[in-house]
Amino acid sequence: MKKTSLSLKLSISYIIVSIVTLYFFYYIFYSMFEQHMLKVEREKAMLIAQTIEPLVAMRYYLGLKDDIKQLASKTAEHDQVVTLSIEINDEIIWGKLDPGDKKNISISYPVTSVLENKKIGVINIAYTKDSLNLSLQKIHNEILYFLAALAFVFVVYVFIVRRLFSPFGQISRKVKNYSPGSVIDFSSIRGGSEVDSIISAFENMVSNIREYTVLLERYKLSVDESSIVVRMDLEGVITYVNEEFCRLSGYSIEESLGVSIFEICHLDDDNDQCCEIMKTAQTGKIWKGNLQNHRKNGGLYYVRVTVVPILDEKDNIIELISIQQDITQVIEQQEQIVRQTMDITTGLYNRVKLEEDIELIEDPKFAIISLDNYSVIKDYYGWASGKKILKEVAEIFLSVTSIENITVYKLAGSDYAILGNHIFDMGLFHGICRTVLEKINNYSIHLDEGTINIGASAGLTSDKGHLLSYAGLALQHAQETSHLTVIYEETENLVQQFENNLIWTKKLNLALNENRIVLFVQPIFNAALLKIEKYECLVRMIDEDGEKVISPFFFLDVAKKSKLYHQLTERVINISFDIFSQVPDVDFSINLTLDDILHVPTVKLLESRLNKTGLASRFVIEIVESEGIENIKEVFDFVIDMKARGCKIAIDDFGSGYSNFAYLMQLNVDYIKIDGSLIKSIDHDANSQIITSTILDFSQQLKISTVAEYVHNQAVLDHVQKLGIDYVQGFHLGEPVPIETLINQVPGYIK
Amino acid sequence: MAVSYSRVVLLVVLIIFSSRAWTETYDPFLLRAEASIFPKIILLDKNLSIKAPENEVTITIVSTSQDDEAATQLMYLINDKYKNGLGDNKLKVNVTTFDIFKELPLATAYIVLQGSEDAYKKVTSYASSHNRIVFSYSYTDFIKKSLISMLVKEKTYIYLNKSAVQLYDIKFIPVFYEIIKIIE
Repeated sequence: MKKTSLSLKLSISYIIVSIVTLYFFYYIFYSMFEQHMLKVEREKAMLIAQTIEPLVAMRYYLGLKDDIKQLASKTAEHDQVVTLSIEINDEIIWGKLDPGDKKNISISYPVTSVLENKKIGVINIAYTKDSLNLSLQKIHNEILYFLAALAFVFVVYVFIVRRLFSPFGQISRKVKNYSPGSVIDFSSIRGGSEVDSIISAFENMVSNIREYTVLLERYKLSVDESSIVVRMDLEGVITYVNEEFCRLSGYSIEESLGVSIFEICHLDDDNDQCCEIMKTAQTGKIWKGNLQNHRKNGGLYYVRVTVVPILDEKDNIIELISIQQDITQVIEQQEQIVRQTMDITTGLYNRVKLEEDIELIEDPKFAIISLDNYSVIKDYYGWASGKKILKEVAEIFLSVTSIENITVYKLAGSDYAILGNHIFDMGLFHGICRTVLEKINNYSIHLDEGTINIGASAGLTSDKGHLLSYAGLALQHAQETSHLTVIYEETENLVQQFENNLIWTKKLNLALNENRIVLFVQPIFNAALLKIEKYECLVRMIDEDGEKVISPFFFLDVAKKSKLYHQLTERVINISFDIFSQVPDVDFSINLTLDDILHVPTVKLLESRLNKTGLASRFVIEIVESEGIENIKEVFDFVIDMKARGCKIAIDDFGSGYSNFAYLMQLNVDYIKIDGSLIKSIDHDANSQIITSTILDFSQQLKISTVAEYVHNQAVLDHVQKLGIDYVQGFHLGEPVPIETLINQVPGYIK
Repeated sequence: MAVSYSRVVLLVVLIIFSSRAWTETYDPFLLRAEASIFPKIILLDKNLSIKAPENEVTITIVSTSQDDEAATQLMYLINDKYKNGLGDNKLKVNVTTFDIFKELPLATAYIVLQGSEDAYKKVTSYASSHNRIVFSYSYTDFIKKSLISMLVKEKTYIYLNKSAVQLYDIKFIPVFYEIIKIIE
């Protein structure tokens, strides 16, 4: 449909407005004029009535009715008077009553008495409108002439306007089919300075458009080459995709066009993100976010999406454009990072993440919390139960520490860590740790094999430079001292102790390698006969100079912590069996701990040496008391096995700690070695005497022989002899001597 | 109604049997018109209240002794016309002659029938000096300084003697001047 030109529109609108305005003014003024003329004509009629009224009244007063008629007759001869009637005192003096005619102006004027101001009659005049109509007709004609003249002016005006606007029409025709990048030649258009200005402006605009088009093309190329571009309507139906989209999604352009973006990406329309995207876009705002899309082959890919609504000149949204970047690799890397920083069993962050966080945090508060005996429990109940324990403990951690600024980590084994930031002072952080520990300690874990309770202890520190090491030391100290928590900063010499342990570990290792671990033997005497019947093998270390004998006090604990302990035990077994296989008629004993009994290689070695030497009947195993040792199946089986081989079992240091008479029976022991702390003061300490007597009575009833350790003077010896203890051992009777001396003391013994 | 009828009969008798002298001199139709109009003109005087003490309008008809019948006839006509009073005023009509008219109390207005110029002027000068209207039977008597007169032809004309207006100094209501003919 051909559009009406601006000039014609301008002219028509001007004419319409003018006609309407003119008609309006014509109507108003015509109405006013008509009303005014009508009023004037009415006033004329009234003037006639007013003029004749006093004359009529006076004549009537004087009884001159003929005069009235004559007056009325003359008045009625007036050109404009159509009818006239005079009625006084209900008597029609002249004319007849006129019912009134719309063609005429009818007025009634009262006749007042001459002497009294009293209406006595009325003069009715029908006044013709001919004069009025004539005037109005004249006005009509004048207006028509005026409008005709105006119409002519309008025609001229339209012609001029169209002529003036014709250059714009030419410009519009040239610009109409303009496409960005093409050139428009305006040289053929002639016009005034304004037209030249407009042409100049158009030329500038076209030049700018050309520049921007080139720029836009470059931008488009950049975006198409670097990003996925999808254009869609407001319903999400795709109207354009670039090659990058096809490459990534696997759909061709033909397969994509006309299909919903949500359908092609396998996104549910009700999906929260879809709703959010459409809602955001429909409000004219830009949506940004990450989306997980499906490829045609079902695979996943991730994109960072920016959805921009495209608006028309009236700010109506006409389409949506989605610029996407493929972030699949980034997401996969992130997931890999998460996997690397996450403990699979518990879902907590792991040590990698902890070390990262430590780097970032200021003024940290840190704790390592370790489950007691987890390795034993795990070995006993199995890996599955161990994982269950770790998971449930992790939940305890999360339930207590589910507050901001605190993070829980799972470290190796059964160790957990808690990291708090500067918001916490050490008091508050310590309180949180204690709450966690109390919860763990009060928590029962239900396994297939039964319900078990576990304990935990914690080491805390706030030294950012040494969080892991100091917290580890504090934890170690807590475990060693049976404390629930230890704060590194509140405990002296932990580092020194640690360094000392390191030194002794190094020394022990060196000593083992250089065969400087030796055995000393201390004689055990028959108390009654004071005759040596047994020797207790005691481990010693010879210093690097080969001169000084070092007590196990300095290295035994270190050995236990550094996994050299079993080497030490094996060395003791080997040396003792080597020597005593050469020394006849005397029993010998070595000390074994729970760790030794549970350490299969050690037990295997012992069994091997017993089998090879045949010394079982002379061999005494001294087991150090430990809480619950009798309930461990491996210990029980070991004791039975050793007893079956002919070995004897002694309980060492009885009365020092967990003294439990029940397991004496359960383990069927042969000797009780009464702890030195009881013996050394037995000559003067009543309590020691009572306890020792009780142990002795019980042993005698069970037919278990007793050994008194730490007999360091004659008084003590006298006292233990008096009590009836079977064997005595101590410095007063014989100090430990190198085991090799046994061979030297017996002539003919093979060294 | 009976009374009215007897009066008409009386009037006819009077007309028939009156002397030829006055009937030839005075037009009975003019007399009747004057009897009807002159009293009303009296009421158009703006200063009537002064001239009609106690609301009693007094009209004195002055004539010669020869015209006594005409005067009486006029009196009868006036009394018959305004037997219920003149407007709100009582009406009293006297008949007298030129010789003795001054013996009567000053009237509100005078109707002067025909008479000599001297006798006539006595009345007009007396009345005008007291600002009393003088109606003359004929407007030809305006020369004798009467103020108002009438003529009945195809219509009734009321005349005002312009030369006497200042003499009498009587103020009529304005519209009265619009219906009368003024004679110089």
